[in-house]
Order: sequence, then structure tokens, then C-alpha cells
Amino acid sequence: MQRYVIRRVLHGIIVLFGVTLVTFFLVRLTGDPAAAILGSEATPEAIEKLHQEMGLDDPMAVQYVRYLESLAHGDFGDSFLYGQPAFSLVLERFPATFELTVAALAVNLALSFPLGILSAVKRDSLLDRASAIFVFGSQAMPVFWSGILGIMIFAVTLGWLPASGRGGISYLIMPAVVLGLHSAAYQTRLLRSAMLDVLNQDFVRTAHAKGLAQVKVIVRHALRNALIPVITATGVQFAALMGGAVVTEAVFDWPGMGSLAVQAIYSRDIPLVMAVTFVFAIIILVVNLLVDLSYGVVDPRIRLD
Amino acid sequence: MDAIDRDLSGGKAEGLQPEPSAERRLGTAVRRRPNGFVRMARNRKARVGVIMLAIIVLSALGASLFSPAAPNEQDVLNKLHPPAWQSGGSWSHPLGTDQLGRDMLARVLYGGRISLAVGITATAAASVLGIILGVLAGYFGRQVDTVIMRLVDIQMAFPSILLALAVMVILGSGFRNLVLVLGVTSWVFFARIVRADVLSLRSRDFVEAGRAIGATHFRLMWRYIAPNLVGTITVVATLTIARTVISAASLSFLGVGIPPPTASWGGMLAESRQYLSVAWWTATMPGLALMALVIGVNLLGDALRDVLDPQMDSNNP
Repeated sequence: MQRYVIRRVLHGIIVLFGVTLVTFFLVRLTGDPAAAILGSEATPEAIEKLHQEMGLDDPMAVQYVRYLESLAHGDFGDSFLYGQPAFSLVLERFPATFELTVAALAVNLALSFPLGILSAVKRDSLLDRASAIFVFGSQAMPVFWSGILGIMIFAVTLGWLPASGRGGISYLIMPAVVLGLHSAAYQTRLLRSAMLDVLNQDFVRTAHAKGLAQVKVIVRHALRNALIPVITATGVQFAALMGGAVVTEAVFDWPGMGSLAVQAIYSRDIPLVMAVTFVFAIIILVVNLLVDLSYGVVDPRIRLD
Repeated sequence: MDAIDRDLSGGKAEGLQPEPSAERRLGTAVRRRPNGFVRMARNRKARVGVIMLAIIVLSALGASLFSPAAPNEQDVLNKLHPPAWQSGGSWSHPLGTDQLGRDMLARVLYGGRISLAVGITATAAASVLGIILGVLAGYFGRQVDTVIMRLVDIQMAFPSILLALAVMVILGSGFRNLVLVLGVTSWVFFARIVRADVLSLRSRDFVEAGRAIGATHFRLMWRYIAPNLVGTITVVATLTIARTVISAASLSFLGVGIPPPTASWGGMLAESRQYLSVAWWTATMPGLALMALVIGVNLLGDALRDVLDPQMDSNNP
């Protein structure tokens, strides 16, 4: 177990290293950062001076190593846009994104678990049909479209909820539901098919045969086994949720990491872009690690080593 | 299609056919497994999906025939004109007009051309990259596999929309760059599933037999393994088209996809945000069109999966 965790953490570090490499060179291709900071009216002399201050004339490889060095000290550099340390700017935005994704996840689970389980148990029933329609519908509703629809109905027409920004719970409802609905589609399908697989197996028949209550069979015998493929997919699913959060934040002007990332990319704020992608990557890697570790809890037969 | 069917399920299906004598003995007529076309025609999801797609594709192809006006033609006297069935609407602009007085129907139809073109070409690009890397990873294993799968991990470690956004800002918006970016961010879907298939195929007897008679690596991959991937790839490709259509619209929505004034559904939705309180149709029409296209493609993809590859994990495209 311990060895497994160590190996997974090392693997994660390699991936993070790759992420920095890709983003570093990608961002450097966008053009001259010095010119971007100083704006269009800068004199060539001023740009040249900043070049030397920032060490932009050194070879790329040297710049990258220097960059990694400061990164190891937790220093991503100052944001061009805000003039503050990029890393702390990202951390400032983290609670908003965390709040949004947790709320969206809650919406997702509240929908996908009952729908996925019941549509498998009552296969081909009206509920199963309805859930299939829900799955195809919400898969085809990208967050920017359902978000606009939501704003149009609940903010503009009915005036029930605020259209954008972050504040009390009323601000959270729409973005969370929009993001949660979209991600629930996949989860519902997955859970349904996993449950169908399990329900056909002998041990479920045995459980029925020995007279256990239907609910007990479904929850204790079937669901626990159906959870394995669901948990496996959660890692990839979580990255998609993060991506959805980026667009959702843009639609609702939600002041999280996603809207910060979009802003940073548009204004070519290199330190900020690097910091925000780095934090996104860390979050996703940590979640994936936790997901893998949870196998052992759900299914004691799985030994991690 | 016939070939796909034979390659994929040939062994399994024929193995299940009882001997004629057995059939007679049992006194029941065991029908032959119908071919792919017949099974698709019997599949309700396939029928609905194909009809939806046919309507969308035909109307996009015939955009110039069905449009009451050119997509960028401005009718300054009729800005934000409501659809025909609403009071104040007229049949000269059946779905109304946008903030510049451009005809919504024309823009939705021409936007459909863009969506279809981006979705199909980006998926083609992604499939070429993903299939090659997936086959190499699965076939050679070891270091080749490790390197390619690390690439997949890195790509999956951050939201692909961020990567796509960054690259679009660097390269500049436009059709070609959009296809390139979506191709590069979507290859992992092909690579992962192709690799998994190849892993199980490479130790099968017929591949061993090929190796025994001295087939080269290239020949083994191309002539022995690749034909068995056709079914899987068809399904993944169909579902990837839906995904790339949505991603392309997201990027256009964020302002880095198809540049205005060219009509694209994502761009139309972005522009509509300022007029939500006065012109509901500017947001609703492109959104519904996008939804219809994605539902149609997903229905078709699902049906193809049911028909072509019953073994495939139905939830891991």
C-alpha cells in the first residue's frame, strides 16, 4: 500500500513536470511577453530593457530551468496583469471554484444515483425511458447553452435568481445546476450499465433466492459491486467537470480559477497562465490518486501494490 | 459495413449458429444473425438519429436554397425582428433577425455547415493521430507504451478546453486552426481505446500465426490487427464528432473559434447574451440547432455501438 502510494506520487510528479514543459513552451510561442506587459505604445528601448530584466534573451532551455527552480520555491512570478504573485492570485480564486464544483457534484450525485440505479432495476419502464431522454438531452446541452437558457428563464423572465456574479446561495444555484446537470448524464449512463451487469450475476440471484429484501439486495449486493467502474471513471469525469467549470464560470462571471485562466490566456499573462494550469493539474492528479486509493475501501478484494 | 460486421463478430456470431441438424432436432427455426444494415434499421435509436441527422445535413448543404437571405446580409430596418409566429413577426424572416438585422434562419443553416465541417474534419484528424499512437502503444508495449500513455496522462491532467483556448489564442482564430486544435486535444479518446483493443488482439492466435510465417511488424499491425479495430473506431469517431462539435461551439462562444461575421452557433450564442431580455430567439435558435445535431450524432453512435460491438464497454468511448 505504502509503496503504491509512493509510486503514484512519483508518477504524478512526472506528469506535473510534463505539464509545466508543455505550458511553458506553449505560452512562450504566444509572442514577446515584454511587449505584452508594456502595451502597444512601448518604445523599443523600454522593451529591450525589460527583456534584460526578465532574462528573456537567454536561451529557452536556460529560461525553463530557471523557471523550474523558482517553481520549486513555490514562486510562479508576478502576474503581468495584477502585479501580484501569480500563485497567490490563483489561490485566492480557489474557494470560488471549489464551491462551484462541490455544489455541481452534489447536483450530479443527487440526480445520477437514483436515476442510474432505478433505471437499471426497472429496466424498460417509463422511468428508464425518461432517464434515457434526460441523458441524451443533457449530454447535448453544453454548459454555455443551458447557462444562457437558465439566465433567460430564471433571471431575465422570472427574476428568481441573479444572472451572474458570486454572493449568497442564490448566486450559486444556477451555475451549480447547469454544471451538475451536464455531468450527471454520463454518470447516470455509467451507473445504469454497471448495475445491469451486476444484477444479472449469480450472487444477486442467490441474494434474492434467500429472501432478502429488494432494497437490501440492490444496495448491499449490487450497488457496491457496480461502484467499481463508476469510481474508475470518476477521475476522467473530474477533469471534464473542471473543464466545464471553466466555461460555466465564463458564462456566469463566476470569480473562480476558470475565469481567471480565461482572462490570463487572453491577456497573455504568462506567470498567471502557468500558475493556474499547474494548480488545475495538481487538483486533478490528487483527485485521481484519491479515487485509486478508494478502490480498496469499496472492494476489499482489491489490493494496491 | 458488411465487411465490418464480418470482421468484428464473424467468429463469435458463427460460433453461435447451431448445426443444421441440431436445428432440425430441436424443431425450432434458429434464424441467422441479420447483417449490420438490417440490425441498424431495426434499431430505434438508429432510425431517430439518422432522420435527425439527415434533416440537419440536408438543410446545411442546401443552406443557400432554404435561406430567405444571405447569412451576413443586414436588414437595418428590421433589427431584432421576432420570429414569424410571434406578434410583429413576418415570413420574410421566419426565425426573426439578430441585432444587426441578419436573418436567423440563414445564420442557423450556415452555422450548421461550419459545425458539421469542423466536427467531421477534427474527428478525422484526431482519429489518424489517435489510431497510430494507440496501435503503436498497444502493439509494442514496454517503453513505447509508457511514453505514449504518459502523453495521454499529461493531456488528461488538465481541462482540454484550457489547452485549446491557449493554443487558439497563440495560433489565432479560424477554421483551420480550430480543426487542428480540436484534433490535437481529441486524439486521446482514440488512443486509449485502440490501445486496449490492440493489447487483447496482439496475443490472439491469428496474430501469432502471422508472426510465425514471418510477417513484419508493419504488416501485422496493418493487415492483421487494424481490420479488427474498424468497429470500435467507427463508434468512437461518431461519438467524438458530437464532442468536437460542442468543443468548437464552446471556443467560438469564448471568442476564439470561428471569427465573426461568419455564422457559427457558438458565436451566435455569445452575441445573444446582450439581448436576452429583448430577443429570446437570438439565443434559442442556435442553441436548439446545436442540441439537435448532438442528439442525432449521439443516437447514431449509440446504435452503432449496440450493433457493431456488443462487447464494448458502453460507457467508455
